[in-house]
Amino acid sequence: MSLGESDLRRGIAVLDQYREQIEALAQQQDLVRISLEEHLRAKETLTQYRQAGRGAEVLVPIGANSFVAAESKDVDKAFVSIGSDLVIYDDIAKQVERLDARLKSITEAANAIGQRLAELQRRAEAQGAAVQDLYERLQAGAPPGPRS
Amino acid sequence: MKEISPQLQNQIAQYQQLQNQLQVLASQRVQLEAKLREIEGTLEELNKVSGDTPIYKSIGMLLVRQDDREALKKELEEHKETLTIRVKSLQKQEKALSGRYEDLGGKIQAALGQSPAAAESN
Repeated sequence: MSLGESDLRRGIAVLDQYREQIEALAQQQDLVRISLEEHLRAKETLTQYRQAGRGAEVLVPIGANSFVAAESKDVDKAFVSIGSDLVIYDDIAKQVERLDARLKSITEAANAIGQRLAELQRRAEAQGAAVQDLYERLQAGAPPGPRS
Repeated sequence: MKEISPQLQNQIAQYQQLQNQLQVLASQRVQLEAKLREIEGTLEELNKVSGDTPIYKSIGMLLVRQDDREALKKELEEHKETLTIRVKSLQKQEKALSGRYEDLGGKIQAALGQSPAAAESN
């Protein structure tokens, strides 16, 4: 195997590593996005529940797009998890604050992942171009040129 | 294309094994650290909420009311302590394995460098 072919193999290996990292980060990004949507939905539900007022008819989801009819009782309080399998029953205003704090931290995580992903994609593109260039040179029988 | 020596093959296999072990350790550590952060957050919240705020614990499908707040905190503190010890232990293991990993990597690089044909076949 020539030096150029060896370089090409190494270049492809690096490119594969970038692709794996990008895939892993994209999966993380999906999870963070789902969590973000869930928290936004919870916050919106709490706000709307309070606005609906006591005695409002509400439909409680029980899964499989099915519901049971219920009536709102204590519209100023709700149960929200504080982690470690613990849930507290507190004023909705405070629960919304808790959800907001979590939303902030999730958004920060999403931004960090987005930045890292963009950086990796930029590197992968550069690496892809270098590999393509090397491949074309080898195909043409020319000696490999300087690489980025 | 020349074959690489059995000794070098063995070293490469060990190197890959170490790499896998390091990945497993890192993954375990990350999970434990996340759990640790969760407990710290929970303790922080518990200290902030007023004494008359009802607290429930998720047990299977049920939420069971917990009136003894101090017992809850103690339980979480103990869990935190255990997790901290486990994280430190994993960090130590990672450090030791990283040393061996880098050492072996250096040896393999040196061996491949001495034998270009071997390097090509790797």
